[in-house]
Amino acid sequence: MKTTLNKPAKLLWVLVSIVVFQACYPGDSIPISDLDTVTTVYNSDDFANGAPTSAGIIWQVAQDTSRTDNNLDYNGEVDDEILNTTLEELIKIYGVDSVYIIWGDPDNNPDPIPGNPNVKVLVEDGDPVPYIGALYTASVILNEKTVGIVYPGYPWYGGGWWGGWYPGYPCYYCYYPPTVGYQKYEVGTIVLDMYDLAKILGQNPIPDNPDPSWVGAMRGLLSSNPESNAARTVSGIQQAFAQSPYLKN
Amino acid sequence: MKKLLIIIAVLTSTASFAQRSFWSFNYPISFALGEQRDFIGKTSFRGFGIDGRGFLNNNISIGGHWSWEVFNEIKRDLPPIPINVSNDANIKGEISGVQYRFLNVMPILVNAHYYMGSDGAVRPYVGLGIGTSYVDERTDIGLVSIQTKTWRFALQPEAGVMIPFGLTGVGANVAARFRYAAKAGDSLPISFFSLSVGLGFMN
Repeated sequence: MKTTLNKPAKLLWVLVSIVVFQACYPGDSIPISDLDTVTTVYNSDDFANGAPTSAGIIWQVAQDTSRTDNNLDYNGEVDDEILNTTLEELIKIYGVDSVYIIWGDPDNNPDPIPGNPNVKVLVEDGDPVPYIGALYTASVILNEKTVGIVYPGYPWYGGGWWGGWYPGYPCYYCYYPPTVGYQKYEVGTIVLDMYDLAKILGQNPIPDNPDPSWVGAMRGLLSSNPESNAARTVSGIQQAFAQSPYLKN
Repeated sequence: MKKLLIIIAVLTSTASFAQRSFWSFNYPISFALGEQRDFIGKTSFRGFGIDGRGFLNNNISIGGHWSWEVFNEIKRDLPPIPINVSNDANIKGEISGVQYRFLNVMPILVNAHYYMGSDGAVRPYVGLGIGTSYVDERTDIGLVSIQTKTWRFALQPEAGVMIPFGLTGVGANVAARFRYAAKAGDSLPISFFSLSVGLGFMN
């Protein structure tokens, strides 16, 4: 027997249908860029008397390559964007004459090529060392348990570039490996750390693993979509500096 | 105590006197007002409500109301918001990103209504509901979620009309409601205007 609905029942059915179909929760389909976040953390004590007036950037994006179980296959695809965008932001803060690129390979030119040719490149074991107030480092998180190892293979110990700061202190900066200051990040996060060298030098004893004064963590920038990674990396780093006005005096 | 017993006696006696009831199932479209717009200003098209009323006499009913409305909005280019990252007060943090904001409002009210018109005809009504409202506010930034859930004092004045289909007790119920849920803690007060359409069953 064919069942038919009377008019009120049909209307009620339409009403219920509207509610059911409308009930899909908003945000079911989210563009990957909408999940990007920029988190900045700083120690306000370190900026109480003003920010550093010069900066150096380690010209290498550090990553923990010692593991075989990394969750992200990264081969430096956005190193250029990370370093050169950071460099541009540092020039805005400190001025082109007070920013230095720190390059650890005396036998080769900096790679990637610095975007601003006017920034002086300091080569380890080669150049005299100017005063540097803030040291910036960049790293990418390839494994959720990535900690600490940011710049493997760099000859921090036994002299080297850092040893030239003051005569009589052959290993003056040996205790400032630019390690990642916070230990848990999500895979695909790009981390910038800033160390206040004057503060670190003023501590006695000099800490083996000093805390950074500022951290910028750009979550989610490295995704499985390499085409969008570069643009999102640039905007993420720009946002990290934009929301940190205290970096500039 | 004596007063309470009198009130109960009056209510039960009149309730037994009134033989009619009015049930309605409604779909609301809601428009944010006041400070709520600072959190979500976008119109809500997601919701559902039920009203059940018993007539004390031909013109007055008392009853209850339950509804659920969902607001949501995607906010871009907002300034970063502070986050707690350490017990050390000197360590400060901020997070920025696209914000997915959600607001679930679920009022549970007792109400009273006054009706114009006569049986079987179009019956405009005005009423007031009072009770509590469950409010769930959530902001998602990336995978970070900031959420507060509160029960609040709620108020709901309304005006509507029941339009019967012919001589049946079934009809269209159209109502305009102002919903208010008081401020709770740091959360904003909730206020929005709802235009509801639905089916009414009067007998």
